[in-house]
Amino acid sequence: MLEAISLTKDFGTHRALDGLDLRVEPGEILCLLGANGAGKTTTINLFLGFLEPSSGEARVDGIDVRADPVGTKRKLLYIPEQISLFGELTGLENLEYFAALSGVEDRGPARLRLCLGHAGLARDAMDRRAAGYSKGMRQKVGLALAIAKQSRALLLDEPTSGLDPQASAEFHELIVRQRDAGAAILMVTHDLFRAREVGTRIGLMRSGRLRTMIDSADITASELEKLYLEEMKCSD
Amino acid sequence: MARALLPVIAGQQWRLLVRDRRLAVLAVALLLVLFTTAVSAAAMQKAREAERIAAQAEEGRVWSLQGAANPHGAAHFGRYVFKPAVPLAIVDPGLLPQLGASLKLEAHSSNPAQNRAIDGGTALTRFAGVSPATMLQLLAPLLIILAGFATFAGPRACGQLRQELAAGASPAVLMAGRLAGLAGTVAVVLAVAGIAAGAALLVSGAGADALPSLLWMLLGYGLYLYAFAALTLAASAAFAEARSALVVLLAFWATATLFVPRVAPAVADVLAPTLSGPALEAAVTNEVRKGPSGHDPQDARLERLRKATMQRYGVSKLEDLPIDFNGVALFNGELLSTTIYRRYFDGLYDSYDRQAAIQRSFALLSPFQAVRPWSAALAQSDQHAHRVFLVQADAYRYALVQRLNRNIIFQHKPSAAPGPYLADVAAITRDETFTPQPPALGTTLARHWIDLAILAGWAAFATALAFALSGCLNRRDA
Amino acid sequence: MSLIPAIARLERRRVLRDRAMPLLLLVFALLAGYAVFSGARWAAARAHAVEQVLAEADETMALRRETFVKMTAKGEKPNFGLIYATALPFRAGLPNAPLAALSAGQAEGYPAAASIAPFLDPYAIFDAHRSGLENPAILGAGRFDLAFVIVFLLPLLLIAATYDFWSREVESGSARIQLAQPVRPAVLILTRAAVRGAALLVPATAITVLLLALAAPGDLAGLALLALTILAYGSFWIALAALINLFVRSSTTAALACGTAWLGLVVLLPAALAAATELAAPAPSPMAYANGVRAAGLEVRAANAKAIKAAATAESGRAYPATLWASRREIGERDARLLPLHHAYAEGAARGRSWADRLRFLSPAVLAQDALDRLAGTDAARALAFQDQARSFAGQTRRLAFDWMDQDRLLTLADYDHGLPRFAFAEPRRGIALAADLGALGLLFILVLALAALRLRQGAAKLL
Repeated sequence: MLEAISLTKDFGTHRALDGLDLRVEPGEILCLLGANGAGKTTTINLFLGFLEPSSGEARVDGIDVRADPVGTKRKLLYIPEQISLFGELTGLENLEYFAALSGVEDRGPARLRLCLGHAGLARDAMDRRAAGYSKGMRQKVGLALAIAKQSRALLLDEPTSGLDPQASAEFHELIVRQRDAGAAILMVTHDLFRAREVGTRIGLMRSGRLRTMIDSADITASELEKLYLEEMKCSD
Repeated sequence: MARALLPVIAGQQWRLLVRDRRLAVLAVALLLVLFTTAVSAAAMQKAREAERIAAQAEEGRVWSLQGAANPHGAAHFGRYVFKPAVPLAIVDPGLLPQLGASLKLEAHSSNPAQNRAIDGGTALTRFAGVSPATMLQLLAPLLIILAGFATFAGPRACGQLRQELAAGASPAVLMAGRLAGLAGTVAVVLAVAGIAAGAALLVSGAGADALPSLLWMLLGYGLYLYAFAALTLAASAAFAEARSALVVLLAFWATATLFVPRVAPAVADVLAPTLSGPALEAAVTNEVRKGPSGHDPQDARLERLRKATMQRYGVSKLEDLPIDFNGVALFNGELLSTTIYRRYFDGLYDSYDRQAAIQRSFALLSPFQAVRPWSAALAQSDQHAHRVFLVQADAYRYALVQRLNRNIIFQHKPSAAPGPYLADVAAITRDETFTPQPPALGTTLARHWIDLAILAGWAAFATALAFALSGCLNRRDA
Repeated sequence: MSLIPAIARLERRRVLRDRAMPLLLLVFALLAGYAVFSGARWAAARAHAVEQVLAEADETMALRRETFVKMTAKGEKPNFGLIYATALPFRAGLPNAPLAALSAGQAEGYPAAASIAPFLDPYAIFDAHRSGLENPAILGAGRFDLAFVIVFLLPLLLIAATYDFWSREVESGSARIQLAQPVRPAVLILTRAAVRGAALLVPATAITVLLLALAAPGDLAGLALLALTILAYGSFWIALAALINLFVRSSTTAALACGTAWLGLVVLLPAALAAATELAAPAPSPMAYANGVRAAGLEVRAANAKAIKAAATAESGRAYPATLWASRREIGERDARLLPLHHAYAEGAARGRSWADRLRFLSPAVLAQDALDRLAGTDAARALAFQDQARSFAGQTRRLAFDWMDQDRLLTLADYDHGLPRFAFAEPRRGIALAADLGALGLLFILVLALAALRLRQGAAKLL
């Protein structure tokens, strides 16, 4: 569903991503781990069409992102580290707008409230202006869009960074539900433990390359941590 | 401890300002424009002054070309004086574009100066030329606002502020240090302006006489720009969001430098209206016709003059007078019309002064209303300097015309030589020369000390406000 | 399915909830209201001044008629200025155009009246009306008219409304999530800029047109063109703010850039163009012109001195005295001698104006000002048309006086009662110049949009 084929991105003489090959199937969560500057966000940006690859391809549902940037976005949902909603609008109005942009046809208030409810947003918060939302509440609006859109692919860029443990747990519960509904999810995170808990597979990146790919079921949390630290210590 | 921190904070602020590339680009561009406008204005003024001197000499030749002419006819042919350049108009052209540079001096008339720079223009003329004064009055405050609005406001500044306060600096010391740093920007602008003006005076060939006026001018600008620096930091301290501080400061800048300077003269015109040109001429003509009291018509006055003259010379018939009575009538007519014109024009200039006082009251809303008259007065490009020139020119005109009339009175013998009287008018008027003297610096300072006081007041108010609002810094959440 | 309605709906909602917007509109309405009041007052004062000048001739004739009647009643023969057609006073005045309250324009740089006498040099008929006695400080400050509000202040308000409409989103991170939606960046960004800008520009245009219509009703076509001018000029600034937002990453940089753009386009560029005009076509020297005209006049006088002297004591044998016949000959020679000087001076000034007219196409502010001046009838072209027509009228009055001289016809009481020929101003065409101004504004708008489109084509990465 999400596929990177020898995906490479250079910024001048600096190679930010070096021949990435990965595939995220429907119904699986692939967590990408790595230090800052490893190429994780660059990967996300390439799938979103925010960057053009120097070589290789990023595909969504078999379609090259470069060939149809708008069409591929229609199949995706993106949740960044900081979801910035329009503060002057309510949560419901924000969802209505983004749903319209996403091409969601059924955007009636009832359905959108349902989506917000499924995403965990409290009823009384739906008609409050987003300027007063906590980060967790904003992330829930983002997830509600995924539900409304029935996205087949999710791109998550450190979505729980800065969330308290309870909010973080709630959020991960929700994305697991999306996975179980058949979505292909690519999640960039620094949270090793959560990655092992929710991820189907875990990829370790360093210096623009995918160094290791492991199944979560085959590794314990402490082993993952040890592997991560060893990988980060290595030099090229 | 606080005193020791001050230079550290000021130095840090200065370093930040200098290293801000966006600001550096803007500042360099503005200062370059300032320098260019000053030097090019100087070159143009030099050329124009040379042209004026040549034209004045040619005017004298044309006056002599009349040869033997009727003196009263010559009085109507008149003379032209071309207003000399003022050195510091390079820095502040003030009202010169609106004031004429050529004055026709003739009998029975007090003409306004002609050939204004604004005459005969197109839509482009509406956009006033940019002078060093424009840069200092309009653009330099903007530069200071852009340099300082985010000093205490905005997420990055708030974060830095928390660290500075945590390190032991008090808000007042931080404010003092930042103010000193931003005042450095003011000092740089003034230094460049001073150097540009000095270079311009050199290019234009003006002597060192203009330097004291220039220094006083720069003092006024220093207070003006310092006030903006303090107000900028006050706003930056008052608002946590840089955007809010910027909007408030830009609104103040627009109000102070764009709105108020246009509204104030219009309000002054409503509160203290002046006579229009046709109305003034009609009033003068009416008084000449009916006499100053309104009940003394011209022909009655002429009859009284005739009787008085004949009595004075002990004759009973005009033909027996040893002088030409027509000359006497012309002399007295000129005396009367000049007296009336001078009274009306004094009234007109006094109402201009009243309008200026009303405009000055708007300095409560905008320091621009104090720095503009201050600067123009010291550059001698204001209405008062022009009035001084006009009064001197009119004194010359009157002396010239009366000299010609006296020639008619005492040299023309109507009975002896019938026909039009001709005389060498150039020879008659050779001793009348016109050398206008500009107002003395002391007089200008005495007339405008209030403007300097207002600017000092703004500087003091802005400083007090900045320190008062520095208290907000303690309560700032990053 | 077009996303424009959804994007427009969002932006409209945001605009309605933006507390700054009603404030900006209120500020604009107050400024425009004051400007209309101020402009109408100025226009009324100007019209009154012109009426006073026109009335002078009637007053002079009334006084002369009174003297004529008194003398006749006493059994005396009216003489000199009371009976000679060569002494008739005429006046010409430039009436205000219907929308004069809109802009003072160049009106104060040109004479609005002429004092005509048959023997007067047709180029000297404006001399008494070139400079008025308005306080130069008021002229120097500039008139606070609608043109000032539209050309100088409206861009500032539009910038205040739109300067960070996208850069703020980039700064807050909202831009990423928006661009992650299946919508073309150009559609998203330009729609939002257009809605936000129009939310201020359209009401501002309506307010301006309504206020001016109240002050100066009747010229519907003029008001429609005014609306078009404001929309064209305002659209340029909205497009420029949008373009700037495509290049900057923070609100404060956007503020700096938009402020610099305003300074550059409204203050510095026109000043540079004015300086370029002065360099390319320096104004002819008025001092040299005055000296030249006086010297040439003296030469003609000297050449005719003997004839004038002889005429002083000669008998013409006709209704008009010999002195007037001699003067008639002299002024014919004088005008012929001075005409080349007048033409050379006028051509020098015209060259400068021609350069200024051409260079105006480089500046949106000058284009807008020019269009507004033409709509208000206070532009240079209309003023110069008045001068041409006044001189032509002066020629007609001279021909009238000379015909009467030839016919030995003197003024009678009936002639006083009949009244003087009147000057009637024929409005010159302004359509082409106005169309050029509006077309150029439109082109500049398209140019900025094209630059924005080029930037947008570079992809989303350049917009984040």
